[in-house]
Amino acid sequence: MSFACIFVPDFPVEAVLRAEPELRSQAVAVLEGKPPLQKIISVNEAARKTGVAADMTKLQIEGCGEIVLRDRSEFQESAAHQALLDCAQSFSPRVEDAAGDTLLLDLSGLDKLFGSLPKIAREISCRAWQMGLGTNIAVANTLDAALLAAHGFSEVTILPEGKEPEILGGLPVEVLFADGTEFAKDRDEILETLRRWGIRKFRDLAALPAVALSERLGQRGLELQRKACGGSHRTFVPCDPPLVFEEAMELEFPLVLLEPLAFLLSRMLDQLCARLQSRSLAAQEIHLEMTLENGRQQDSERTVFQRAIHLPVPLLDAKTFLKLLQLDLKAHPPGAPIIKIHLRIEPAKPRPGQAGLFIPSTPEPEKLELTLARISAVVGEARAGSPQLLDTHRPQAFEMQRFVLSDSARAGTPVSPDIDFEGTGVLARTAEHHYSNGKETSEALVTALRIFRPPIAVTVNHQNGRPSHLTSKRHNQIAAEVLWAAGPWQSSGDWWEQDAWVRDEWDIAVQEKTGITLYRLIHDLLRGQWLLEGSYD
Amino acid sequence: MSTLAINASLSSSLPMILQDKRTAVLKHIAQSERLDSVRSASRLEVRPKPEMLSVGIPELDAMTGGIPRGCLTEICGAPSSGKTSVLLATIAAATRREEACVLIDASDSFDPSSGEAAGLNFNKLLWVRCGKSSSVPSTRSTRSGQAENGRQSSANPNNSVFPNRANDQRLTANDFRRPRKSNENRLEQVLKSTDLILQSGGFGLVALDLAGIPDKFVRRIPLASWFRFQRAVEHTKTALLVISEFSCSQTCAALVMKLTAVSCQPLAKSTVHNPTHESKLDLVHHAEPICGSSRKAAACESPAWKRRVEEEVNIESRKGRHWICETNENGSNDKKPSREGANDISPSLQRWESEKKISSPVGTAESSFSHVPSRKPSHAQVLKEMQIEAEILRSRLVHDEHRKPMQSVRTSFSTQAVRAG
Repeated sequence: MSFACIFVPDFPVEAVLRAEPELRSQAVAVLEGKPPLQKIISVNEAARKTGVAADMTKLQIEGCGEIVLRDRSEFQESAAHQALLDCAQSFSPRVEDAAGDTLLLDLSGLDKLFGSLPKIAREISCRAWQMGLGTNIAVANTLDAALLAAHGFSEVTILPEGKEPEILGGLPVEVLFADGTEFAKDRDEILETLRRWGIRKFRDLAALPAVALSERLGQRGLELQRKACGGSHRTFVPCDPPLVFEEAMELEFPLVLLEPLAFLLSRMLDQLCARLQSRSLAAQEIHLEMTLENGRQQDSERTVFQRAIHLPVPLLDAKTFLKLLQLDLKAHPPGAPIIKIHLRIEPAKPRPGQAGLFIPSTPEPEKLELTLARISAVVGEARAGSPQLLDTHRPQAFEMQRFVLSDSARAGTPVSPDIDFEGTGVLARTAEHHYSNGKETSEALVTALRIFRPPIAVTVNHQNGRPSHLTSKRHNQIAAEVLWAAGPWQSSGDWWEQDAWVRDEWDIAVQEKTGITLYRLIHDLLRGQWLLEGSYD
Repeated sequence: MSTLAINASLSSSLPMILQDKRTAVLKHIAQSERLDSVRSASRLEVRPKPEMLSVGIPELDAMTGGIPRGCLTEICGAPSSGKTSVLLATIAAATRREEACVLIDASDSFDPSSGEAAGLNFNKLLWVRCGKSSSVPSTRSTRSGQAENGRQSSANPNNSVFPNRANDQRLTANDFRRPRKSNENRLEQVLKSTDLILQSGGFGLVALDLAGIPDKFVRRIPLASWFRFQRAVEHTKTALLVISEFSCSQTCAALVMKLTAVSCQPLAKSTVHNPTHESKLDLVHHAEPICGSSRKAAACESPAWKRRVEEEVNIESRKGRHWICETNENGSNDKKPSREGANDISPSLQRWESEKKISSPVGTAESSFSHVPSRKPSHAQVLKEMQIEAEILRSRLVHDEHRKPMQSVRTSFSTQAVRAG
């Protein structure tokens, strides 16, 4: 059995640095508490070198140089912990959530997948760094040995079997209480006792006689000595972390422009996509929630601005997501300065990518989504999509639906191409297929109607009950005698509804400058209007 | 005299000098190594034959071989010349092959009912409806490509979190007051959308419908845009099809066809010349469920329908006089007594009578229904068919190995009117 421990030192600071990676080169300290009683709970290495330590107050560190101070954010720490879990889950399905900053992994049998244990440990470290977290990794045969080594040694530590006491012997005895054991409440008392005995290192404690230690410290002493020797009675408790992919950021200053917002969204999307990739998942929905400044307390809906982007296929491309969010926010601005951003992604299994040689080429889903969003920004929302006729006889009853290429188009049955490779110019097989059946041909070749949106109101003169002349005030080109008129096609419906319709339809031919034009003329009997609905073309 | 002599000697020696210089230059060029990689025009290879896409009309496919992929094809024709019918047939044929198609509709005039009748698979069609002012205000560019309104472009508030309501309202108001702006806006949207679609790639057919835009606006599309579109689809599987009222893409089009409506059979003769008899049949049909719709049958019994017939009867049942009814745009009726046709029977009255026949439970109703299947009135009878002639105006496609198709190639076909809805 081999176990690995992932430990994030200075976890509150690492959570802040993960959200703001540009601060890594600076001295950062995290404060907790209400002003003016704020105290530092965590500092990074650069701040530690300037003399800042935990439990210092804000006033005490004023003379310690230029230090970036951040308030503790539980949501950032939660997101960092989730990222750590995703990192561990990408290597092993058996993960124990030991603490917020500590995870234990069962590495049994993984050497065939990922290589030797040192290689696995280095890969875990690299993956965690990619997710914005600096970690200590330790691999050992026992859980406690791995845990103590991760807390005691920086970066990657490998404890070979049987050499645990030797390697752990140099660690200070304070590390024994780093894992939050049941003796943590007696930590100060035991440490004081050991200090009086002159015990400073693990090896000093391991060298004490067990009986004498038991007589003075009881079972606590024996347990600490066992841990100092690299032994363990700890049981591995694997967890099943929920698939929660969300990031949040509280801003110090309200954002008024969308461009700086895009930078923050890009960073959050990068982190979320890295987490999704580590779980071999893709995004199905993106939910953006922003808390706005100056929101009225009574009206909570106006305080929080929410947008959701539903993707037709699972995608995993941070740039695509960012562009979609940008276009959506341009079309629907929040309306007030932003003080908090919360981004959540609903995961889904990635789509299969199997394709075929004879499948017609289709747009790539990522490009198609961006193209549709850009076109919607140009022509207006819900004006680019697939029309779907409604189940009614009401004229011009259709709705626009989202244009989604079905999976059959991408991975469905291959369609044999009816292309003239021989260059004869005639598509013999296609013609045979489509035109051998006369009925199908007659159905396919129809006289199309071009709809006027909105319809053109006209003045109609009648003769013998038929339209004989029509003019339009707004369209000067329509003022002519009707060459022939056919109809009426009478239709009505929905008389039980508010928007009932009763109308007569005429097909008329009108001589115009360019020639004879065929129009569909309708007489709205409820409103008493004559309208040109469209032209045949 | 001396000047003349000098001029004469110069004129005799100048051609010799020029010829010597020309010979020397040609020799120098011929010795250049760069010329080795340059082929003479007579030895240029013939362009590879483009893959052809079926139009869905056998006559057109036989004439042109379809429309080429990777090229720009243009179909032009006057209103009611059949170009939209050909467009729908082409899109329907492409969607039958499971290809993704785009229709960029400049005038927002596509009729989904006609599309369904033509056999379009709507799941494969992306319909871009141009014309409405977008939520994102755009910089309106002139022909020279510069921003028309500098204040608008410099004070572009798109980057702000605040909505740009004032600007939107102004745009809408301008569009309403000035239809010219509306047409320019449509064309701008068409060009932008086409650029985006072609950059995206992967579509089998991209169709631009410019037919509803006035000529003077379509002519303003710069030639550079057409070249850009043509270059974007070159060496791809995408066929770019443009329909308009006249040829606008000029030399960028690989194939230009012109459609002309030769004739249209409007309706059955009896319906034209003997409306009295046919109107009975019309109403007989109307009393039965049209297109198998029980909702329409219910509509025939609706109070609105009965009220309408009563009004028409009240107006037109005045015996001994025939009325010329003029309805203006506001819906009010102005009536003038006619001097002719005093003995004609009002069609509405006959419809009323025939409806009474249907509503009566006995007698003639059965015989009236018996006529319905043979004389079912529909737009197929109202507008029966259109006879369309197609002519190739220009073609860069190589059909034969040695010659291009003659420009005078023509063919004709007909489109059938159907009643949809």
